[in-house]
Amino acid sequence: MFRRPDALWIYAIIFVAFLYGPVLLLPVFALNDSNFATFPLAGFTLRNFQSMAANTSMIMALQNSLKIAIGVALLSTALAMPASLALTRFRLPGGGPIHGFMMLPLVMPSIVIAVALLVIILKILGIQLSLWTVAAGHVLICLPFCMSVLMSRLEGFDPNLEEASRDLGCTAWQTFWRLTFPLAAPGVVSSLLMAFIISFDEFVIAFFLTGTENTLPVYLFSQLRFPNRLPGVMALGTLILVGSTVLVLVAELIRKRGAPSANPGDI
Amino acid sequence: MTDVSPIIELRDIRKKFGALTVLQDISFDIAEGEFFSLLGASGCGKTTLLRILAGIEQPTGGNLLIDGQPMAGVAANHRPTNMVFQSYAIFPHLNVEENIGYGLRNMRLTKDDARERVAEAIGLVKLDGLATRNAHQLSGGQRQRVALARALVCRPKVLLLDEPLSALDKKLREEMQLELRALQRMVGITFVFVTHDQEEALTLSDRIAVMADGRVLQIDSPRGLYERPASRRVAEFIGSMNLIPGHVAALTGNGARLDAGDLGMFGAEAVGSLRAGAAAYLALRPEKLTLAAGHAGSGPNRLNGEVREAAYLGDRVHYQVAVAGLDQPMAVSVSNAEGEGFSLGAPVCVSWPEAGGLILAQ
Repeated sequence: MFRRPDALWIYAIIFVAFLYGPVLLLPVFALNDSNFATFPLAGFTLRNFQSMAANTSMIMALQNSLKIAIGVALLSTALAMPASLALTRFRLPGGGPIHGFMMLPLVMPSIVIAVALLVIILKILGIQLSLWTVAAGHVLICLPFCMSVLMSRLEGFDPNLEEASRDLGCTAWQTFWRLTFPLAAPGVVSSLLMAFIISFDEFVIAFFLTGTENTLPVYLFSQLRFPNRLPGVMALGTLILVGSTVLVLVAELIRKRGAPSANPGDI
Repeated sequence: MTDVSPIIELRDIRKKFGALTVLQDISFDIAEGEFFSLLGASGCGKTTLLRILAGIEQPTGGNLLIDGQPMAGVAANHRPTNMVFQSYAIFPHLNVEENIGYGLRNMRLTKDDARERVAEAIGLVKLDGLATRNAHQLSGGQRQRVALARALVCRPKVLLLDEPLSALDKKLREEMQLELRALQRMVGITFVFVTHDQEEALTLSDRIAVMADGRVLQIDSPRGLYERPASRRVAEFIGSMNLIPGHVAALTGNGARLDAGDLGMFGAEAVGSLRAGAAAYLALRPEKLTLAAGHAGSGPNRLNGEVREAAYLGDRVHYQVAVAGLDQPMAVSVSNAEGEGFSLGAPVCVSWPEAGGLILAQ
């Protein structure tokens, strides 16, 4: 359809190059045999990946980030599910304001959330900063994303399905596990992945709320002062890029699989 | 049917959604083994009543007994009822077999027993060979059968059906009507059937409750409703009815005389509560009327008019006869067995036996 290279077509190419070009430089420099991220390229090497593997503090930070991201993904999805069910299934008094309130972190600057949480945690609750406090902050900002995904999935249901399940002798709990959860599964997977990715690369809240241990983004930021560490950082960045691409592809595949049941009530 | 003990007893059931009253003064019994229909236009409350029977909705007031047990506080999953939903509500992530077996999981059956019952139900609704078919590969008619089997396999005391045939095309619908009736006779379970299609209700039911505006207008057998509608609304809802307005001139035993002004005086059997002088109608079914060529002199039980429209249906001919003094032309249905028929504009005389009419209250 867009064979002719008209202005719009050129605009689209520039747009995509602008978006993904910088990201693609990462693997290029990671494989470049030089301490400086500049052209011309000096030669091919895997040395940066070896030095990355040997950098224990970076590996520690990666482990911390993975632990937090997995925990946050599970917890925020688990919290978002009952909230989404309540908001889509029942006419709650004050349901609209509650929904709006839960979506608020979506539009609040994370610096504001970070400072507010810092004050609450240190001054009011008197809790030591640690990876736990980072995770708590991440759950707060992930919840609205998880809820949006789950609610849109749950709203697509024929409400008669759950009534039929109750009518056929299932309790509310059985109905959830035998019917609602399997049908919402593609939404649950999206919610898990979204929360994972948001938590994994979140910087501001992690920077404010972490104690002695670093998450990966905070660690990487601290390493930017040392130019000779940059190639190792890029090597790690490359691995994360590959990892997240695979993750997104898998998620998309699952979502497509789930598509036929997106309209369960149709005839 | 009325000598059989009631399986469902409704006592003054009321339902409100906020300020809106959707059901009031609902009190009747449904006998065991009966095919009972709730008939009414959309919004009359019939589906809400069915959902109250199922336990999906709770009544605002009144008592409901199923099989002698009060149902207040009994959740849908503990009631001896199962429902066939209008949308069928086939579980999209399960195949035919798993859908049908869904309700058996909580019944503590052995695996073999459960499998046997599912197979039996599949045979009952003629879905043989489709046991492992996925839900989204089924046609509308097949989905309907799965929904039916899924409910019947639990062996409920009462099967509730919410317009189960409305999504099917006409031919399939008529086929399913016969099958549903045969199925009900075979399993002997009480069926409560919600429909807005009066023909469907007449074909299937032992008894019909005609509903409007959240109330039951009349409960009777199909024949009783058709022959002796208790009110104008029921008369107009079931089949078509010619109504000649007037007021009650006199009450005579179980009949009445209607003064229809210039059209004359008409005598007929009276139904409902009539008072002398009150506004009333002479109600005449189109097929109780006969047509004769030419105008006749004035006499009892006849009116002169002229043919406005004629619809030839093969076995019958439907005429619209304009009568001076009536706003609506009279519908006359004549069997095609007799005579040549009448051309448009021809003067005719519409007549009926006195037993063919009814006098209805406003």
